[in-house]
Amino acid sequence: MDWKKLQWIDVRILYAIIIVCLMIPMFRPVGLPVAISDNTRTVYNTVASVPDGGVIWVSHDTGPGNAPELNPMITALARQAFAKNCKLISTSLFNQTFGPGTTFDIIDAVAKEMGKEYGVDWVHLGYRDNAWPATIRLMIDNILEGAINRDWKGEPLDKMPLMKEVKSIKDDVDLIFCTTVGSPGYSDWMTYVSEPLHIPLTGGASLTMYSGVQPYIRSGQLKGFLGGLRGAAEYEQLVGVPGAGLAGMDAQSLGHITVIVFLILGNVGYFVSKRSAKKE
Amino acid sequence: MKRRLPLLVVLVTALVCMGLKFLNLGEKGATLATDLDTIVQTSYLFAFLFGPIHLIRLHYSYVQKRRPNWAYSAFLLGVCAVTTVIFFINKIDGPVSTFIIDSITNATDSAIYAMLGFYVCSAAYRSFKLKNVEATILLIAAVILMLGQAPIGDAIIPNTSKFAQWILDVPNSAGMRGIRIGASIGAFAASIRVILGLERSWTGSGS
Repeated sequence: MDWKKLQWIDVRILYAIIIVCLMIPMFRPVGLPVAISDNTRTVYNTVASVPDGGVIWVSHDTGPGNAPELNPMITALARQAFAKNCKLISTSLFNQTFGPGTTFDIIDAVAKEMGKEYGVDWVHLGYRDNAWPATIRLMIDNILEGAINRDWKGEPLDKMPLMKEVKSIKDDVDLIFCTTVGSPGYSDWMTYVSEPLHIPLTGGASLTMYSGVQPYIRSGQLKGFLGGLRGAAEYEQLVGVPGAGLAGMDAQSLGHITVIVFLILGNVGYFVSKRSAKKE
Repeated sequence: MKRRLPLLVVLVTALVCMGLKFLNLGEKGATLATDLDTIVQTSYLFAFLFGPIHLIRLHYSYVQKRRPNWAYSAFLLGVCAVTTVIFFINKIDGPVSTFIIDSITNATDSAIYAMLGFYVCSAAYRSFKLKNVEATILLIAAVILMLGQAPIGDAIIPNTSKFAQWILDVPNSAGMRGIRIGASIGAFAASIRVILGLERSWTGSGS
């Protein structure tokens, strides 16, 4: 066998193997146990520490690419929050075409399942395409003014019972939960809202962003943070309702193992060819 | 004057904004800050007008001059025109508009992001070689983090996820802090240059 060829396997074979490995768990789930990290436990405890009936501001700042990682986090959060009779006010500021509709669908599904009513228990403000830092700063003092008195579908906010109780972020919001794939994301919520107003901030990030949030978790500026699909799976376990996060863990396991196997093969090929070159 | 006026506007705006941020100007200061935020909201919307105008002018010139790959520009202009007409007729939440957003824009976005995963796998396989000490450390850290992010890691080697978290918590946090502090100082210096008029490339007149 020519071991040197191991470092030059046709990329199409690599792609085919990855596709097969990602599809196997769909037909034969393995269900490996997922250990819960301290970060996820902190997120759960932070949400749990919001007083019953308190207000959580949810900003699902995602695009279509990262949605499979981040959507399960919002589902689990909505379950935990509604179970405590907390009120949710949601925005989605990252992607105009995808975020607002998805956020509404996710929370709406959980709300209907748990008997919560739109306008009374939760409100969706959607995307704000007019300079969101300025919008958020206006909402800090007056949500109706910042949101131009309209929810995502253009309904007047001042007619909604929830918005008669929740006037401003600074006085009425107990926790901010944001998901992050870029900007706007956690760093912006931290800069403009949570740090100046001392409102706890937690949430979740796509795995590619997760290394960037670590210093802020260590400094206590973020009250834990969920990392990628694994974080979502851990959070679902704590909330007690398995969902898409846990379902995706088997595919993630096999996908990562495949990459590691190919890394090993590539390095074996590299060393064999290096040794042969030395001998020659 | 044509060149100095934008610089003067930037200088005055920056000084006012910094003054509002760092000085306590009482009720009047708070009102001015709110007014400035409203101005930002309104003026920002004009960027959405200038963006498409610039895009159309640029690609129209590509088509007119038959630049290389001009067909892509022509396709973009065609799609812009068709989409605009559909959204005007069908409204933003009409069935055809929703189909364009959900089944074309979002689906394409998802597909492109998913394809990145395959490219990353391919790139890792081709380039992650144990060539020297630094590359070896990088490779070992990457493997531990990949195992730590999937339940199979703990199944193969117990506590892999905890070790992966330690890598994120300690060496990664230290590196990230350095990068962020450095980038922030750089951004601050660049802002000062813009405010003082030393950096003028944004006016189109060069530095």
